[in-house]
Amino acid sequence: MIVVQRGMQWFISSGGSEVQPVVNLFYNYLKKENIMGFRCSGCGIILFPPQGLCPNCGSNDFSWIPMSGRGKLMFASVGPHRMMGIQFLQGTVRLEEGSWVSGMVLDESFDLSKPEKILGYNEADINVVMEIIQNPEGAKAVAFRVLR
Amino acid sequence: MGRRLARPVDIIGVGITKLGLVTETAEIMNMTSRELWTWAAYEAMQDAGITPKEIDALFVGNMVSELSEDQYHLGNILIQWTGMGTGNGAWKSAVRLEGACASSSHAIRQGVFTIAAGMYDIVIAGGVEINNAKIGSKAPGEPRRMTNEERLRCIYCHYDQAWDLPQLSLQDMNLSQWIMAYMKRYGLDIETLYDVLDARISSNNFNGQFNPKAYWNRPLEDAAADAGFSNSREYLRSSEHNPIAHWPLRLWDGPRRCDGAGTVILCAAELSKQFQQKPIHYLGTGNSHGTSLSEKMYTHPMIIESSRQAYEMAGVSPGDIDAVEVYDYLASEYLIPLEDLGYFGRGEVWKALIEGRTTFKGDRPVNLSGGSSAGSAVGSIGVIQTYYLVKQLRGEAGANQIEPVPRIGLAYDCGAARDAVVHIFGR
Repeated sequence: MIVVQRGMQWFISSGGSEVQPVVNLFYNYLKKENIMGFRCSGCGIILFPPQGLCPNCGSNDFSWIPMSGRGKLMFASVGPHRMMGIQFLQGTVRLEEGSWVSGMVLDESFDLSKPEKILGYNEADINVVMEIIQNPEGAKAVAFRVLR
Repeated sequence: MGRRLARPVDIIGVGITKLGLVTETAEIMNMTSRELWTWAAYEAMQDAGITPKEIDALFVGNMVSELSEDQYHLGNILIQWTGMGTGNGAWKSAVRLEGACASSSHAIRQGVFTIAAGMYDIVIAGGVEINNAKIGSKAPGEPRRMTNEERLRCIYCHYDQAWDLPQLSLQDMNLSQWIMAYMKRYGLDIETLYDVLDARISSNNFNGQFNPKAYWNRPLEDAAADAGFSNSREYLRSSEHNPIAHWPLRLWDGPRRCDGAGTVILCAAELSKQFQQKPIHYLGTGNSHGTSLSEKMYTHPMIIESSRQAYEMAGVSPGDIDAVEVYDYLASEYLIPLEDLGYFGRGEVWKALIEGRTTFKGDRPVNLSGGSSAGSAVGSIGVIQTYYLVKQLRGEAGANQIEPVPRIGLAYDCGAARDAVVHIFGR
């Protein structure tokens, strides 16, 4: 996927003189502590993470916007990430802006030796806030911290 | 009015290899994907009573051959091994398709579409997978068992490398959310859930033990006895033999990953009786992509949509289906699809399992193959499901034949819990 910069806006395009990659930009924003999504210029829907064409109106015209960072943890589970050698919580989160995303949940109060406690995290309307972490392989990622 | 194939298509031959590990299982020891495919292809041609010369094109589904065999371009290699390439003056068409665990289902669909479109009359389609062994050009024909990291890489490469993996979003974790959402929706406590999970393993095992080509076809009670348990329930509740993987799901709630191949011979229906006196009609299909996330998690729109397409094309309803094969990569993908497909009503599957209704002796049989408990050769799943359903519909399934012989069967395959494929077959 390629993007053409025009001022503050980023247009997915098949050509142009200032072509830049979306995935690369998303992770570069994360490295600078910015969690950014796409707002569709055609219909206003917000996409997180950014993607190619708008699933709502088909537009290729997006601008980067900072995400509120707020969301609700809808479902959660606990288990191993065998490649990274960690035991962790994973959640499905509905962001305030509407997107559904999945990723690591941060909650130091969760006792990993009592995995059955995860049942209490499902459909429990728990508020979370996005937080930038570095995953065990070194890449930046967005995690979801449980708010109590 | 649903879509219709522009030209009816039949299945006139089926074949599968013994499922197992090419590093351990005697029947397939030291084989590469060429020998596996050729075994299944020859068996299907024999079944159909045709030769390679009569086949117009080849569609092979495969997921990980780059990782297991450093091999691209399987279509080119397999068409030669299948006797359809250079050497008999044929100069025919072949291509590999990849759709994670649904790869062979996509290959079958593409084969069907080319016949329906009038491009070809007879094609061979299916899948082959080696996903436990590594074979390369430095030691041709000498597979070695993959390291754990290599095995994990085979699975992890189906994730979105730009999002899922760096963000620590794993399918198995989502699938444990599916099952917890199902528990909550239908008010199951954890003890009842484990009764249900045990019943799925028992049902799959009961069906699969009669299939000589299954990777795992030992009676569950024998496995329990070998481990010193007086019954299978105690065995399945043992944290040593059935440890928690992604709570509440355990090791046995997942697939028995293996190697193997399968093929079907597809034929324009107006020609099929020239070859096969018991052609099985390919009645309908659907495919819908989604994510493994949904607002309710105990139901998934991609499954409902793919089956809607297939039912409309076939002109049948869920109540007409006599037998189902469902790709239960994890137990969640058994319970939830069977309800989204309409084969069971909402909240009925867990009870049906406990009541024993899903074995070949029950009134709503599921996974006559043994499901993923009997073996999961990822890129070959859909064609292996098709093989067992065709055998059932012909009344040739042997020891676990459903009586009366079923008229309509449905296969549900799914790639990475986000690429749902449905096939409906009838006689």
